[in-house]
Amino acid sequence: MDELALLKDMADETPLPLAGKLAPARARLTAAIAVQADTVGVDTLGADTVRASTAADAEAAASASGAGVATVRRRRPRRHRRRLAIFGVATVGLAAAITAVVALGPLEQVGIAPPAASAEQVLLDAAAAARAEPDVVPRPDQFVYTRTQLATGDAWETWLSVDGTRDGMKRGPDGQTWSESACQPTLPKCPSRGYDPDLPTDADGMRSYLSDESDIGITSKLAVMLLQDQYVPPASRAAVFELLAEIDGFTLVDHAVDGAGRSGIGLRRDSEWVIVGPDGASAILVFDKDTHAYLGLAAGDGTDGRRTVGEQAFVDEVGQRP
Amino acid sequence: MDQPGEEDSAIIERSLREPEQFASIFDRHAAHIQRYLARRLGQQVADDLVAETFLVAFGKRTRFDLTRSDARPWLYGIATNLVRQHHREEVREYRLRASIGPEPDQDGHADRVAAQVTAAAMQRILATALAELSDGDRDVLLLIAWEGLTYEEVATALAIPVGTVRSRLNRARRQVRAALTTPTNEEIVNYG
Repeated sequence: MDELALLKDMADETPLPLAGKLAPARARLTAAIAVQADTVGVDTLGADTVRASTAADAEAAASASGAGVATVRRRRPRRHRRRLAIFGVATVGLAAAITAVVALGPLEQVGIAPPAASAEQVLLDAAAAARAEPDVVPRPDQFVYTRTQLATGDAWETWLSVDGTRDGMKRGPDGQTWSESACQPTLPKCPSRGYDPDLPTDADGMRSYLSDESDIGITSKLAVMLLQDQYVPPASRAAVFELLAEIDGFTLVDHAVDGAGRSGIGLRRDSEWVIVGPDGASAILVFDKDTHAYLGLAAGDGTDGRRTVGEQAFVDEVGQRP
Repeated sequence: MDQPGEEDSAIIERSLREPEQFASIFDRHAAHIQRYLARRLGQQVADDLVAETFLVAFGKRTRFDLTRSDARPWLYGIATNLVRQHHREEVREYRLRASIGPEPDQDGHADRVAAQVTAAAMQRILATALAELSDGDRDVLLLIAWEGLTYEEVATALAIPVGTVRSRLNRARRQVRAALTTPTNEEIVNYG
């Protein structure tokens, strides 16, 4: 008698489960994947680029001191490096803020729909939340570092000189780089400037400031672009939201509660001047569902579930990461 | 999502940067893992633990040995670790399996009735024998007897040398054979 064969008989009555039976388990897996998808990207990026950052530091220090490559003393002064969690959420921890933005599921999914606030109300609340934030002032010789990242792992990074006097850089997801030339001090507007202390702090002032083109649609696009690469102090951010609240054409998008238990309200613009994300695709402004504090951008039209992480900080050198 | 014919290792490697690719690993292997868990712990526990298995696997995927083209032994290993944590359920499952047999057809032909009684008795003997094996011996025996893994695959799954797989299998088979051939049991088995 073959005990292996007898054992096999014992097991043969158990069937292979069909897909339907496995569906709940699969759902648990995809939920866990979704929550982790973007933080994994952050970790991977950080680990891969530590070395690159070090090399950039070494180069920068070497060229600054005029010394050869032989011995380079790497300076990493910590006291002036401030990490801003995410646009508009300066005091919240980075991980929590990222989760809040990127753990949102497909944007059209509606659970129990909350009472629909108006786009105007959401924006005014976001302005009020921004005005309550502490101001953070960088040193003039620092750079504003901005990173936006999609769930696919593609990331864009920019380094913009705070006072515009130093060359900056932009890096794309495949490592390609573009330099951002330092500004000429004689020009009134400087796109490579990471921080403009003269940014208006009220809606009217902001409208004048942006009014190279008078069309309202372009104004709203510019307002959003302001929020991406350049650091906008809280009071000015409030002014941007207040200005946007005066503009028609935004659609509210309700979200389902995400895996982390957070929900958000999206603001989409369907007219010809759509809100544009870092990869050129359409994007949605996302606000905390309860407080309406601005969380950041979500990329995509909502049906493909791509998400954007935003991060800003002040760093000392181009190529450095916070 | 995956290319047909693409190896598990390629998918897992992609999932390091694109986590959502890992769902393909579930689609390829979850059915077998669930059935294995159901055989050892019953359907209800299996439905929970198959999810746990893949959540653990997803979390550990950076440590998957990418030189291996097949992820299933690795997944069996994770599932077996989870089974270890449910020892009581496992023993209960074997007892259940042994006690619920097809009711002997009382009006049937004597030989058929005898065969049915024998089958039920067999299940009972096997169930007891399995419960009495050491954890390591039982894991090896069932991965081979129930799941059809090779010695190499079992070694990968349980992270033990092939030689250990062999010795555990031999010991387990000896013990089960001994249980089947004790005088009383032999009588039951040979009834009719």
